[in-house]
Amino acid sequence: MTNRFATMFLAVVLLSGCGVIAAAQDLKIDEAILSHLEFPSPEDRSQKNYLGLGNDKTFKLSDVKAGILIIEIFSMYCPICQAEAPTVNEMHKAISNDPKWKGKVKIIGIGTGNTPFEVNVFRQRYTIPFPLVPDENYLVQKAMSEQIRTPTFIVAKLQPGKKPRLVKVHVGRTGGPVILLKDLP
Amino acid sequence: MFPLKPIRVLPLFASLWICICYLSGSSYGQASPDLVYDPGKLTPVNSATALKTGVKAPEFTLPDLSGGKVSLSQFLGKKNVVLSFVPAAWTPVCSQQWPGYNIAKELFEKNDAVLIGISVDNVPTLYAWTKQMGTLWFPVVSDFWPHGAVSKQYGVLRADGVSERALYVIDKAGIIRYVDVHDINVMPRLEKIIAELEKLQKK
Repeated sequence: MTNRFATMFLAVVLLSGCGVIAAAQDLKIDEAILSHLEFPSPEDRSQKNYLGLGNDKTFKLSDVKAGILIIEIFSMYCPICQAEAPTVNEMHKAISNDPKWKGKVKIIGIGTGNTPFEVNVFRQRYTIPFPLVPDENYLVQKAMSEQIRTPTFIVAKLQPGKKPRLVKVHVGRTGGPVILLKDLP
Repeated sequence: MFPLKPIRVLPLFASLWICICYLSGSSYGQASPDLVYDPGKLTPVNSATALKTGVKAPEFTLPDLSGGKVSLSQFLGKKNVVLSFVPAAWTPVCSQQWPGYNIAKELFEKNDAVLIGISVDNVPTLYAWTKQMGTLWFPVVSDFWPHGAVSKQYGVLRADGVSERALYVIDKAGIIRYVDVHDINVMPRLEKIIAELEKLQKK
C-alpha cells in the first residue's frame, strides 16, 4: 500500500514537473488577425507557386494554399533563430520526402522587424528553401497577446472561408526536425 | 505490482527529472531571454557632439576579449573599419545587433571592411555576453577604463555612462566617412551600413 502510494506520488511529481516545463508561456494568438495580415509576396515565381499565390504584390496568410501552414516568426538578428535554421531546413526536407505531408504541409518564415535586405541575408546565409517574408512594421505583433520571442513557431490548419485553427504554438528551439510534424490533423 | 521498491527508484526519477529540466531549459549558444534586462524606452539620443564625417577618426587602443588589444591604427592603409558602439551588454536591441552582423561577414569582407564592436562594459561582462551569441567573427573591445574614454572622444558618451548606439564608417586613410548616432531604442538597418561601405569601394 505504501509502495503504491509512493509510486503514484512520484509519478504525479514527475509528470507535473514535465507539464510545467512544457508550458512555454501564456501566449494567445488571434487567428483572425493573423490570417488577415498583409505581407509582400515572394519575388521568386517558384516560391509564389509553392504558396499557391497569384501575381499580386502582397498576400495574406489566408491566401496560402496548404492544408497545414507552419509559420516561423524569426529575425535575422536573433541568434536562436540562426542556430535553429538548419533544423527548420531539415523539417522542410522531411516534409518534401514524405508523401503524407508533401504538398499539404508548407512552411513560411516571417521576419519580424526585418527589412527585405535583412531577410535576404538570413536566407542566403542558411540557404533557406522555403519562403521568407519581411515584416518591417511588426505587423505580426498585432496578432500576439505578448511581446514576440523569436523564434515562435505556429502550426495552423488552414480552413478556406474560415479562420485558421491553431494546432500548435512553440516558442524557442524545436529540438528536432520532426517535432512539429507529430500528430498533425 | 511495481517491480522495484520505490525508495530505490526515487533517485532514478529525481535524476531523470533534473535532466529533463536542464535539457528543456538549455540554450545552444544564445542569450537566455531571462538574462536580458529591459531598461524600458530610453531618450533616443543623449549626446550632441558626435564627430562628423571628414575628420580623422581618433586613434584608440582597447582591450579585446582574448587578453590582447586592438588599435584602430592597425587597420590604417589596410581595411575600412566599421565601429559599432552599443550601449550595454544584456539589453534587448544590443543583444541582437551583433548576432545580426555575425551572419553578414561576407558583406563586410566583400567591401574590404572589418567590424569592431565596442561598449563601456568591462571585459568579463562582454565576454559572457558575447559568448552567448555564438562565435563572433569580429573583435569586441571594452571601453570600460578610463570609463567611456573612447566613446567620449567620438562624442557618443551618454549622461548615464553608456555610449550611444552609434555606427562609424572609417576609410583606409583613417577618415570618418559615415556617422549614424541612432535612436538607442531602435535597430539600425544593416543595408544602410553596407551601402555606405559600397560607396567607399566606388571611390
